[in-house]
Amino acid sequence: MQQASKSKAPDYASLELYTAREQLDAAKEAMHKKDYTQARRLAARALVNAQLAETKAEAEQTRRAAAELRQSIEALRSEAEKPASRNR
Amino acid sequence: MRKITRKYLLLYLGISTVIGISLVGCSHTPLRPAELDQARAAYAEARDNPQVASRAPVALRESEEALLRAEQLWDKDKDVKEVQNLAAVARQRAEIARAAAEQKQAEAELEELTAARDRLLLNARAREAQQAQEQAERAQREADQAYQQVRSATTQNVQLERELAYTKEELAAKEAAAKEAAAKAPTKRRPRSR
Repeated sequence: MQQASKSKAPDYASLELYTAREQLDAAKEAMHKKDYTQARRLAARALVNAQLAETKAEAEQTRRAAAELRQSIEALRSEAEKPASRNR
Repeated sequence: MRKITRKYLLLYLGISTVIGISLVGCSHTPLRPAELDQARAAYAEARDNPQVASRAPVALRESEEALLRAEQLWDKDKDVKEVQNLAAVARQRAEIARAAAEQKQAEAELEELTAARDRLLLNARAREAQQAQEQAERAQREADQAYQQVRSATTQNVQLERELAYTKEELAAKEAAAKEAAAKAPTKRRPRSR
């Protein structure tokens, strides 16, 4: 959970992160009630949801970086064509 | 008419009895949790996606392992709650595999784009350098041309000066000749003036 919270998950995978947090809280509550079986199940669910949040966020972050780079390449290309037309 | 109705009624009763017995039979064992089939479907979808199979094999195997554990537990213990939980974990692991594959794909794309940008920058720099060199060569040619013009003008000037000097000499010689002639002439004219 901590690892996922430190990543971009709060921005890009807030639903999964929220679910993970809820499950973690529920797991802690189950621990208090000494329902260890339920606590273990909820902790396992919280773990996969946190991992999913983190992976989704990383994918989104990389996709955005790629989109930005694609835009700057377009800008470079059009700039490279400009001086040629100016010389004409 | 009545015979037919009775026949159908009997058939209907027979079918109802069979269904009733089978339902009673089923109620002894709990129903297979829907989560198990959902997890199986999610895993199958991830496995059949070539991007996931090639780019996120570890995450895919983790999903498969969780699914197998859930299936085995269902076959053995019929522990509905535990199976539901394991199946949900397996399903999320399939989602993780898909997200990981998307992440790897985006990363590969980012690398390609970085290489393309670097090539573009390099080309632009080379083009600028070439333009600068062409400009320098043009300037050099213009300077050479100007020098040649000055040189030819100077040569022309020298020639003109030489011609002028020559003309002056010629003029001076002619003047001297005229003077000499004039000096000789008075001796002829002297008798007339006296």
